[in-house]
Amino acid sequence: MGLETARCSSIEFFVFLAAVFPVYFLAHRFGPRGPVLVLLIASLIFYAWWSVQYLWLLLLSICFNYAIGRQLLGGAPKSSQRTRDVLLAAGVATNLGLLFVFKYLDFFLRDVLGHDPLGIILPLGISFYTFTQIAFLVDARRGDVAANDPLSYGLFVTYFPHLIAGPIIHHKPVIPQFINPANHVIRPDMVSVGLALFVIGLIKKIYFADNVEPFVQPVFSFAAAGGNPGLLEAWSGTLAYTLQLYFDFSGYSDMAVGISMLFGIRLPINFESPYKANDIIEFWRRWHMTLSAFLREYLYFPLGGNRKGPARRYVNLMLTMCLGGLWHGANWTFLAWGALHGLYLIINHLARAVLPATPGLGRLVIGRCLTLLAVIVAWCFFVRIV
Amino acid sequence: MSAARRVLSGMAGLNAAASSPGWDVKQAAWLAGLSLLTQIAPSSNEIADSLHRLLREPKARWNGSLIALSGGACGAAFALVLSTMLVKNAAEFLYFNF
Repeated sequence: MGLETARCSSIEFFVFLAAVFPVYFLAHRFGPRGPVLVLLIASLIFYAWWSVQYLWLLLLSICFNYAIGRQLLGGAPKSSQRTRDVLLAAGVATNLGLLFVFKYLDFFLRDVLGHDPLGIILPLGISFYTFTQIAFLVDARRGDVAANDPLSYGLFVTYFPHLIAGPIIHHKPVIPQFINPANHVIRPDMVSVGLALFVIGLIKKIYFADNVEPFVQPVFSFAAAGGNPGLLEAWSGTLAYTLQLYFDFSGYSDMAVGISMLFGIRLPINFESPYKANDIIEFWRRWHMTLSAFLREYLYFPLGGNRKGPARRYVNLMLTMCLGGLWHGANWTFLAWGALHGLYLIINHLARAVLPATPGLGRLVIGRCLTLLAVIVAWCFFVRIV
Repeated sequence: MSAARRVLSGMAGLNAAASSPGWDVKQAAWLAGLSLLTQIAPSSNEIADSLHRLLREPKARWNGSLIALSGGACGAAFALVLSTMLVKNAAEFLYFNF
């Protein structure tokens, strides 16, 4: 996450933003699609500035998914339900296949089959644009897509404030905002609040995350090199990582939401003081909220959710969390992190079933401490050792 | 995975601390301060909602002033962050090149 956010808090990015802002608000003079086109071009420039080598993959993915989406929405009126099911399956499989090749193939070759990896470089943002487009296809099959035209769809996928590190956006609330003429003129209240959020995010990143980052790597690199950190060092390194990750990631999300508000577009919030959670279930309603919502809607519920009995519910929870863990990166440690959170959630649901529904103050305090402890322990598996 | 295991066993107090990288008071102060902040500070969303409510208050005649004030405060904070970055970049440039 550090690399991604570093780029968005760079001086070049501020210059880019200052250039796009006036052009966007002048573009409505060229018709209602003008501002959409400006943001689309800006987003593609932003992506190319970052990773020009995989721009083709992003464009190919957009064209492919848009074409499938059109068919699912009734582009071919005579196509039967079965044909549409096949189309949806093919679309989802192609998206997941691309994600597997570019994100997981090397891990699979090296760590599962024991072969030499191919050295594939991970295309930036692929996890985000794959997920957003799978959601679009599934909803298109359900007939639950409000508006779509090639320009706004392209912008929905590439929209630069969120593209690299989220939040994961959903087509239904976002695409209509792109084409709403009210968002094509400057709104002082949105600019004011957007600027406030952007500055809060920037401070979280520059002053907080960057200042605790140097306390993390010495401890984990030391352990990776075979050292055994002592009690205080181990705790301070892990606590520093717990804070660094939160301030870095939530800082970026705040910046993304704030930048988007400058353009009159509201993005979903991604963090709601997660370390104030009193249990793990609540933690997952406060941490990376857009990912949690996606996993719940497009993985946990289709697996059956809690509708097929408690045993199946816990299997579904564990499966969802393991896949959620792997979504963060191709490594056993992410799988372990996801599995640990799956276990936490199962224990939490079991505890909720036997404990009184309204917790007292003592239970809230103990719950918050235990939740924080469980989260800190799990972060040990999440650290990327440089 | 083995790094995580070693750190976890350190957290459980099972490691001998003889060769570990150490920690200092500055580190402890940062961690204590930021931990406290995560527990008492309102979320960014709460701050944004409050600001929105203030700006949309129909009886407030000072909306324009408030927007200007919040914009000015954010601009000042942004300028502070930007100047810190510039100074930091310049210091690094001088350090590595001269």
